[in-house]
Amino acid sequence: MSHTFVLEAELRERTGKAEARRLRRQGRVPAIIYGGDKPDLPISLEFFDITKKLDDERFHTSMIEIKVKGKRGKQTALLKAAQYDPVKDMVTHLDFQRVSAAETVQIEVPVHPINHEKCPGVVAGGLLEVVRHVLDVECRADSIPEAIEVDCSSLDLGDSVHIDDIALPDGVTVPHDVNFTVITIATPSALKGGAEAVEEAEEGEAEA
Amino acid sequence: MLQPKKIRWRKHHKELQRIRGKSERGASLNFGDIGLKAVEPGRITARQIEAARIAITRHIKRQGRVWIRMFPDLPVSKKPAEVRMGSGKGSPEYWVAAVKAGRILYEMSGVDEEVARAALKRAAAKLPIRTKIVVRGVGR
Repeated sequence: MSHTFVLEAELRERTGKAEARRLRRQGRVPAIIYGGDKPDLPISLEFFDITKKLDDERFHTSMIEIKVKGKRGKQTALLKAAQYDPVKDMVTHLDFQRVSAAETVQIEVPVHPINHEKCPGVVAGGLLEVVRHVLDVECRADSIPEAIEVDCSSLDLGDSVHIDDIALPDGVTVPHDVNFTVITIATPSALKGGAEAVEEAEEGEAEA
Repeated sequence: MLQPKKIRWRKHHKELQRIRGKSERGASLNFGDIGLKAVEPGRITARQIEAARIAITRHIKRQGRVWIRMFPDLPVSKKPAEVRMGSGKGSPEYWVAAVKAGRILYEMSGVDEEVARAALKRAAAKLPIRTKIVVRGVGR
């Protein structure tokens, strides 16, 4: 982790859905900071600023310094959850969890496949399928990886990468009971049969 | 066409509570990188689901992978033509998927975004509700 984000927030005097809706109408996003043996702190953030930051992948796995207007000091936190409107896809609420740098945290980190353009499976027409787009990792709060990179350069058709095959950065663990699949090279249906079979299948499907 | 394998009751109520409101579940991409999202509620018949699926697979020439994120599990009954009202409920005619606003209907992966968008646009034309295309983003 290399980047620290800084957020300017305002304290929310009142809570509840009426107040939250009033804030959203004013172009602000209600949020809360909790954890760390301190009382919960209801805050609000500027909508366009936070939307821009949420588009940055690093924001989800970085330590965030929150400066609350009218309160002394900074709150160091991690983004724990983000709620979105299901239709408009706009952020409606954010949860931040206070953490210290030495604390061990559990967080979702995105999976990035690398070298998949030149892997034999994809060259042969295979389909790179990311089964797990995020992994639940356990690590120190100050050393959260931005992403887990998975090397796919040696994968052939039908091959898969399991969690035990992935080289994780130092100090990072993925607690798991089952050796689950993370990435696989699937064979597309066009490769499975000939062109005639494809046409027949299509017609059959259309008639069914 | 999709339909349940086993049913407990042949005829159902309209179950409008399954259509009203926003979809809290199934509102984000879970499998693919790009998808089609309902922006208004409605009932989508098994025939329409299949027509949209065929439109997608034909456009991408069976290259990528397609997920259907809805299932037609609600039977719709209909009375025969020229039958007077009364004498009980009609017989089941077809199956529909009850879709709330915000529901992801189809997801795709393994094809270029441009091709996927064109395929989803063709699929959207087969559906009776307004939709939008959503792309996998951070945190969604």
